Amino acid sequence: MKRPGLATHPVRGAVIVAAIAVFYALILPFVSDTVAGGTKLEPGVPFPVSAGLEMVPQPGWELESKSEILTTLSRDGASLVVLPPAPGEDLEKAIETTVDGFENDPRNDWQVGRPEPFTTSAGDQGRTVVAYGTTEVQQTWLISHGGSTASIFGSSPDSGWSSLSPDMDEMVASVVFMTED
Amino acid sequence: MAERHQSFVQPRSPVFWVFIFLTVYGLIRIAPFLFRDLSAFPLSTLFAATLWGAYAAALGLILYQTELFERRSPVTILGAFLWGSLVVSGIGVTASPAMATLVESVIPPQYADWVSAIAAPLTEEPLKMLGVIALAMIPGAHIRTTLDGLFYGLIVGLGFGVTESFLYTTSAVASQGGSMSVVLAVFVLRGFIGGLWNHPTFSAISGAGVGYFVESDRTLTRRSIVAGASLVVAMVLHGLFNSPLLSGLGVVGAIIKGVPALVMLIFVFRLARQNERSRFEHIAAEDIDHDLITDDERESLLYTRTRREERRRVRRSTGRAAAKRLRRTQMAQIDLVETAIDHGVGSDAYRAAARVVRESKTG
Repeated sequence: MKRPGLATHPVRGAVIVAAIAVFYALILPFVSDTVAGGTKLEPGVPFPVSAGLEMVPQPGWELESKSEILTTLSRDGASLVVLPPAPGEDLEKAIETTVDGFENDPRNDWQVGRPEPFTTSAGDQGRTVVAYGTTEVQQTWLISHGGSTASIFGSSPDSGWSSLSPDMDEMVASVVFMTED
Repeated sequence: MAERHQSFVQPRSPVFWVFIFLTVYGLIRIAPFLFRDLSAFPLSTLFAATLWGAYAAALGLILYQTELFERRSPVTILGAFLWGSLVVSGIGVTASPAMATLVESVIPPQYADWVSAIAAPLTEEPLKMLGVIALAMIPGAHIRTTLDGLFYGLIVGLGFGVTESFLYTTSAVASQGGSMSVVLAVFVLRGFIGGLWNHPTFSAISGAGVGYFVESDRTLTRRSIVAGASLVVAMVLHGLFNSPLLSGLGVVGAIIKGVPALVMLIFVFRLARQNERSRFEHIAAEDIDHDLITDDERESLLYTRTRREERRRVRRSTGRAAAKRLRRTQMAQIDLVETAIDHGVGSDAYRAAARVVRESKTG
């Protein structure tokens, strides 16, 4: 008895391994970009994301849908849902309500992080909290400006979280409240 | 047991160089995330690296205990780990989200919850299985049996799971201002609630399929069907774990969803081990001279436990030196059977291995 192994033709084997890797590394992302259903957004160019709010998209993000109630941006299975500013400026209370929502969510057992403050590029104060599930991450950002608060909800499969989370933070930090003159 | 096998480091093998190229490519893809987190939150990132490193080492050591007759090369094991941690993770950085976009574009919006359950297995499982296939194509890696494939599948999955979880942890740290408590929370969530039977389990099943393909003497069609089916099973189990099913039960739901994969792994593992024992016993009984391996010795060699018990018995009755000599003899006998399987009885390698057994028996 003699075990043959899988090394019947090493060059052919190397080509097969390389071809499968190339398919996943290059061809699949190319096809994905081609068939993506949303409207392409111009990276770096401010975009009116809802009434009274502008946001600077990061590369690869698309406009999935837009209505008076909410705007959804998406990329690679992740989404960022932006609600128009609503009256209210107590960020601490609002973020605690968000935390309670995660902790009492009957559909998932989230590990909820500590609410963190942040400041947008325009100087507006905000609070954010992240909830980690076994296969999904959700994050909420609240930004306060002149007596109103904008809410932004992000969600991502865990596999894309590492690469997409910085994009989401950048886009949220770029939010500007448009004043009506 | 026998001498350890040579490693997968085979400069003459084109597959080895593809393996190295893809590992470097994966490192280049992963490096920006590592540097980003390390420069922004060095302490938390190092803490996360320490925790996940210890986790990988501990689980790796447990998996190493599954060795029955083979003496696997630590370098090859490291190579399998690097395939999971760098190649699968590095390619996955773009491939997983791209697959998610594709899946999203074809499934109805009301099933958006299922995107991760469909997309992640379609990307990650074939890439993990590819690592075992690549190793099986490199003669020095010595993947010859179902159990070999299962073992290296476990290691590839462990490498991927640990790296994915480490990156997930550091991203969580970054979004929490460097909080150490987040590191612990995510470590528990991904390492214990959803980690123990997650990626290593799925790729162990597909790896066993690769091992079967190599080992079996059935028709190419049948071996291909079994290997393909093992990949499908791994993908389905992965999809079940990622699915929104039972998500209302929280942690309990995640644990329940992992049970089918664990049961399947135990089933395949027992089958592969039994198969390996039967093959060993058959060769030792039919092809090996009885002066080299007697019937009693053969029975004792079949289990790690019985080999150890035999050495204990000899140590008590004859002393430590005799027990050490017995250990050398057992290693030489196992090596002899493995050599008979790999090179055939009558080969030069077999004659050399038989000489070692005789020398060890005569002291």
